[in-house]
Amino acid sequence: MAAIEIQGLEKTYSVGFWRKKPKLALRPLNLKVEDGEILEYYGRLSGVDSKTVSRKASEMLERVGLKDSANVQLRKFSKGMLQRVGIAQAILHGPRVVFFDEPMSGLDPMGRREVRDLMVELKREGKTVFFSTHILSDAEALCDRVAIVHKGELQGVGAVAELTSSVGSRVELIWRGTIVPAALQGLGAECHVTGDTARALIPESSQDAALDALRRERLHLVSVMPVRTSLEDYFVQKLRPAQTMAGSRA
Amino acid sequence: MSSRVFNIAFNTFREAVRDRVLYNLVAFALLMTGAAILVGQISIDIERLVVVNLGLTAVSLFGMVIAIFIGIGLVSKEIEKRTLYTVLSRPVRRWEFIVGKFFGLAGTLIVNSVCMAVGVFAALFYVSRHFQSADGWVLVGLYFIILQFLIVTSLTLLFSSFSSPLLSAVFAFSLFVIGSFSEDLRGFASMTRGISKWLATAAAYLVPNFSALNVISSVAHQNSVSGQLIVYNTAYALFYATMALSGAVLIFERRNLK
Repeated sequence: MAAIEIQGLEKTYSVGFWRKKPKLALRPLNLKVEDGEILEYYGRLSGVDSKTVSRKASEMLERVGLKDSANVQLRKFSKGMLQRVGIAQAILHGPRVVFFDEPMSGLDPMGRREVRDLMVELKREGKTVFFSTHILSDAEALCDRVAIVHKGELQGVGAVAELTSSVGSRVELIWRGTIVPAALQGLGAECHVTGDTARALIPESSQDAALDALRRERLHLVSVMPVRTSLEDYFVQKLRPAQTMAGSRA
Repeated sequence: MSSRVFNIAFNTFREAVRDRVLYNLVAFALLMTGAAILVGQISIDIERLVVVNLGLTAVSLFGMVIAIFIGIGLVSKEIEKRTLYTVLSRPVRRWEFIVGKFFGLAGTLIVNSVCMAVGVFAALFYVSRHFQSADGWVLVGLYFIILQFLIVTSLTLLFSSFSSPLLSAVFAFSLFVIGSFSEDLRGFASMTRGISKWLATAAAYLVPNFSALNVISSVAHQNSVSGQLIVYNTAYALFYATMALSGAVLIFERRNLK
């Protein structure tokens, strides 16, 4: 259905698109940014009339923070600046749906922040933003709905809370000493000893049994903290069985 | 529709200009200046003939090189680097992209040829010290060269829509060479019999007839060009370029760009 909408002329008008590798995706790189050449080109291709395209290009440059850039050709821009130009061209014609392919790839922390803020702004404006990323924390921070795709196959789709709730909750136990009770291993705990402190991550359901084991050994408990389940946990849990099977096959 | 084609065409032209394609004009200017000075010293009464011959041949060769070497990258580079996605995610039809690219390169070649024509006339004025009415036929020669460019550009686009840049260049250049001898090919066809006659005739009509579009020698000798030939050649070149461009569009429309 989405493909039909994109291919259809009227529907296409409301779609914005930006892919990674900005040095390759923007042509010609010898167009200038300052006088709006590149944005006007893509704006006109998107059906923006010539009377308003200059004004919109100027607005977009301001929006992505390139208004004060020197009158230089695109080929002289940094990756972060190109990324911003790419995003500007994707949203110049006011699309209702925007596709970004790894929009924060290769950016420095400030660049990532700027792009992330821009995507939040688009969301607030009521636009639907699709973006692909390998950084799951970005997806978790920005997305209402997430689809996990591995090797071309959909592993799961839904709201972040829905997906992460399917992963069993875990609890972190910290105690003094370097002794790790053998009973904890049987509870499926992941134990680590750092200096004179030991730490174990255990399923929430095993919390009481784990605490009993620590008491039996007379260990000094420091803290018991529930661990927030992240999208990464969901991803790892989803893929682990497949990888284990692949490993056993190998 | 037309505005999108125009935008792609204008952008192709702008890209070519900024990629210093028109720098070939400097080489051409040097060639014409050198030729004008040299011809003035070594030729008696044939200065005009030499300048027109040399000038129009240079316009043709420089333009062919640009048409082929820019043309082969117009589509293939965009596919190879996947820059096409940024354009085709707009309401741009694939045929609009091909046609826009064609007009962009054709525009570049026309501007290039017009600048070169100024150089030819300057050299002509330098050696003759005056213009004659017959010099107007040089413009017809130039017009026919531009028609050749339209055919070569469309063929290059056709080849680059399904093959690699290198093969596209080889195909386009081969057709240019064969087409330049198409009258000989027709002569050969009339002399043979059986299947070879049939094949030679088919080949003679399939390859672009560049020899009919080459009146350089004729206009250099101050011969006139008939109005009928101008009309026929115009119709032929436009028909051939349209067919080749349609082929490029048909292939590109079906091409899987994943």
